[in-house]
Amino acid sequence: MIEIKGLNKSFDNIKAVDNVTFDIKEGEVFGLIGTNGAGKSTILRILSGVYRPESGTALIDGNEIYDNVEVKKNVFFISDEPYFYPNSTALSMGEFYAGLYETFDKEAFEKYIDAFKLERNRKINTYSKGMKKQLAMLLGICAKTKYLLCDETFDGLDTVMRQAVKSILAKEIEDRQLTPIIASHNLRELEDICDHIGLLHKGGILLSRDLEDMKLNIQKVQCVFKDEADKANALNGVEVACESKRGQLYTYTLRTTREEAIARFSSVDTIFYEVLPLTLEEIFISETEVAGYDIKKILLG
Amino acid sequence: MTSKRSFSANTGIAGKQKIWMWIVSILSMLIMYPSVLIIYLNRIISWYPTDTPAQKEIYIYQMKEAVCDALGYRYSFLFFGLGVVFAFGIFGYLNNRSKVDMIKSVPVKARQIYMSDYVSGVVICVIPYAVSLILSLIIALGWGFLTALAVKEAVFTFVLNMAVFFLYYNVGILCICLTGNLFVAFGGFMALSFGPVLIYSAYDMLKDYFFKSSGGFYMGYVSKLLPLGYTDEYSYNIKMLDDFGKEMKLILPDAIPWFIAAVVTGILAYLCFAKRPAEATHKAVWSKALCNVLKLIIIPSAALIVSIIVYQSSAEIKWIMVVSAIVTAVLTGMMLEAIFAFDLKGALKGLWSTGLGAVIAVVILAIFFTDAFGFDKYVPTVSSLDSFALETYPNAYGDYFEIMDGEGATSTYGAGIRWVDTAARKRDNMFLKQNEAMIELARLAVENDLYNNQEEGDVVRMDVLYRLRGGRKVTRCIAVNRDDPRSLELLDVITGSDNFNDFIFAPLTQEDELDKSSIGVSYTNGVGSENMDMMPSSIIEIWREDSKQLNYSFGLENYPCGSINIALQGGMSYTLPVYDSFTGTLNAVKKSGAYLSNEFDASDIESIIVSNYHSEVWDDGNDYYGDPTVSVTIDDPEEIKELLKSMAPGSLWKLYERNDNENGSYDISVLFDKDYDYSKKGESFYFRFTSPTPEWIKERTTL
Repeated sequence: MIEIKGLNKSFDNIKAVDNVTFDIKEGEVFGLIGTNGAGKSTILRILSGVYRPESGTALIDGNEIYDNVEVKKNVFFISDEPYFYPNSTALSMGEFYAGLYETFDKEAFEKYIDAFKLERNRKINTYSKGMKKQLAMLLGICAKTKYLLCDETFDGLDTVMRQAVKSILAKEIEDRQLTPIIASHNLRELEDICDHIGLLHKGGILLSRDLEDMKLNIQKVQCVFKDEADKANALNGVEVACESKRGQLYTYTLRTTREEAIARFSSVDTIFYEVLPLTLEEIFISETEVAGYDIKKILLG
Repeated sequence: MTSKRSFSANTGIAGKQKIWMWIVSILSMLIMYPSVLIIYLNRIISWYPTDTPAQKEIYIYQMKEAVCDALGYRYSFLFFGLGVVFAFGIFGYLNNRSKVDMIKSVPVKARQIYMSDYVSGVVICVIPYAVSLILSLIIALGWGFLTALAVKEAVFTFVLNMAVFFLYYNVGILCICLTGNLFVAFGGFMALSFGPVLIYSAYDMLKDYFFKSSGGFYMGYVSKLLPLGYTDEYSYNIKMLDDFGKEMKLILPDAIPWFIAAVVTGILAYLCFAKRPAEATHKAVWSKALCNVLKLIIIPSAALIVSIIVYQSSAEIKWIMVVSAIVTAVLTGMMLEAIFAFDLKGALKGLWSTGLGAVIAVVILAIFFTDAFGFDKYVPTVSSLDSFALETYPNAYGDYFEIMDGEGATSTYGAGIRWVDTAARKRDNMFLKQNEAMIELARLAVENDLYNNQEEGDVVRMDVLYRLRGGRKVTRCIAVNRDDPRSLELLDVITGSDNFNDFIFAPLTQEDELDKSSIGVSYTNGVGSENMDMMPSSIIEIWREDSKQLNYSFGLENYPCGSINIALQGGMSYTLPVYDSFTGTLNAVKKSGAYLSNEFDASDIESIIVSNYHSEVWDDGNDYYGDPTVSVTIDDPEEIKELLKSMAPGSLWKLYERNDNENGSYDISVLFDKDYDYSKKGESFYFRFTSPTPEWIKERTTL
């Protein structure tokens, strides 16, 4: 388990991480969302032992991380610009990490690089940006560490590769309770993979929630009412997070369960209604609005 | 100890990153040692014939010498270069954020990564060097010219080269660990490597400009601050010594500070590595406190160095010096701030530390202008002074050749002969104990303000090295008024000691060695020379007895009538002056049939040419165009006879001269007119006036 409590880190006069507190449970995929400069990379560098916390604590399985070899054995950090030695190949980098991580699975690594069509002995400096990201991801997965810290790792991967990587991650999570922490500035990138989301803004954390919890308790309903009385009955006693109207068609974001939403709208006389799944973006819009922030400004510009 | 994982971080692909360093190291070492050895040996083969046994002996000797030279040559700059290149090559990654992310996140202790990297740099230097040396030794052995001396040369040189390598390797790492940018790190490296010498030189120049008693013995601080200067002297001197204790005595005083500096910088480098945060990458200097410390060192140093240059080129005007110091301090401060911030706009930050740096520079200048700490008033107390060394200028008997009893080692001065810097010999070995006389002499200089009144009276400068009881050494160039009877009396107390003469006349301390190494003893009256059938030790013993008359006053007033010459191999010789009052020596010379009178017969002389150089035309900076020399030829026998009374052969040096001696402006050339018992017809000899220049000569050589 990763426990972050009152974490602070400044660079000169810039507060990169401002009193951040959240936990990451084992076996869950944690998405760290935030704009550039929100503090995602800094938190990951602290969690990987690159940076020393200025104040507060960042513990992995109850232990400090900085210069702690035993903890680092369980952590693999893929930085936003992964480093490969000049003239190295996929195989030689695999050998390198195999020397550093006792758990490194060379067999799996070779299998993966063949599956991803990354030439084993081609020099990495001739790889495309996306190929380098794939390789870094594969190295991280094959290190078989408990925690995998990915900084903008999916950025630069095409859709097919992203899905392939996600499926490997899913398998590793299932097989050995891998805990990936994925930092990204792109909400859509994390939508179908994360269990828990932490939203960072200006070094501080705005919210940290289970995605399922959020999805369970918030629903999007599109509806055409026969009259205003039906509308009032349907919405009576339910929290409306967002409401919009286009012609006769109302679109609501409601804080309630899917079952309750269906029960409410089926009990009133409507011309048409439908309970739709919310995108992660829509959930965040509503959640952050509650907190007094405009997510569009924060994440979507 | 490094763990398996830290080792892994330096093998495989990580280790391959250092291949170019291996190549540089191996090529350098192979070129500098085995290749140079083969070139040396081939040169000897092509230069020296081996047809006769004598030629063969010389050939073998030269081959052994070549082996010694090739193995003992110190390539200080090579090891300096390898040190800095390896430091930057291995630890330069600290300024690469991606690599720092990788290295710091992997499960290896920072200390282990450091040690593993550090050791790899040392190994890349040491192994090719050691292998090259062994290869050279095998080559020399194969050719049959390997000597114990050559092995010793190789080992000592190895130790000294390693000292240089470690020092600059550690300084390089330290600079990388203190900074976050390779250019800044390299600038820091250059500043740390050469800055102390510049700062010391600036201090030395300020002393020379503003302290009248500055000067004295050369203490070799510059060489200690920059151990790149020593190349030949060490190798050459070590070669001459065959006694381990002497070798250690020669090497250790300078080598130990290098090793200490290497150890200190090594510890600092590790501490800085351990403390260096990953976020230091891409910053100029990561510690704000260090930025300020650097500013307070660099700003005054730069300001003083520039102000000295301006002072030199501005007719030595003090206020210009101060203004230039302030301007330089401000500009340097702004430049440093811009570098620290990597932003020109940053130049206006840190004004207080820039201002403080400027104030420090000005305060230092004020200290020198006003002699605030009484540099020129320094006189040690009797209780504090342990011993002293004194250099009484001028003396013409300064050359000192130490005769070694080694295994036939040679130098450019001949077999078994080592030249020793006389001032350095006095500095290191002259332990005079006439402390009260010395202190009173120094006190007279201060009390009479001789430093500011050197033009009044016959004032001369003498270098003194005070050795204080606490081990501290203080050098001064004191002023002595030779018109003052008390000063002369004190000088005589010091210079009249046997101990003093041992340092003026080298043969006194080498009688036994001279008996073995000298190739002849002769007597000269300054024109002719006759061999004496005496061992050097015999004549030295007699001369030593006569020399008890010698002191400063004696040397100032008397002109030698001849000299004993002890010839050494390689054309070098020692000279002992002989005076009319040295009856014991003169009797021995006469007894051996080598005596030549110093009274010359006018009838033997064809002519005398007296030239007056009129050096006074340039006094006080006067402009004079053309050659002011006026020469007259004296060929009248009566005039020659008159002139002979007041001149003597120029090769007989007087120990000390008065300042007001106008004879220095004259040059006398004496042409003998026939084969004489000590000259050839047509041969001319250089003479000097020994008493005031005759008035009629002055008149005839008037400009």
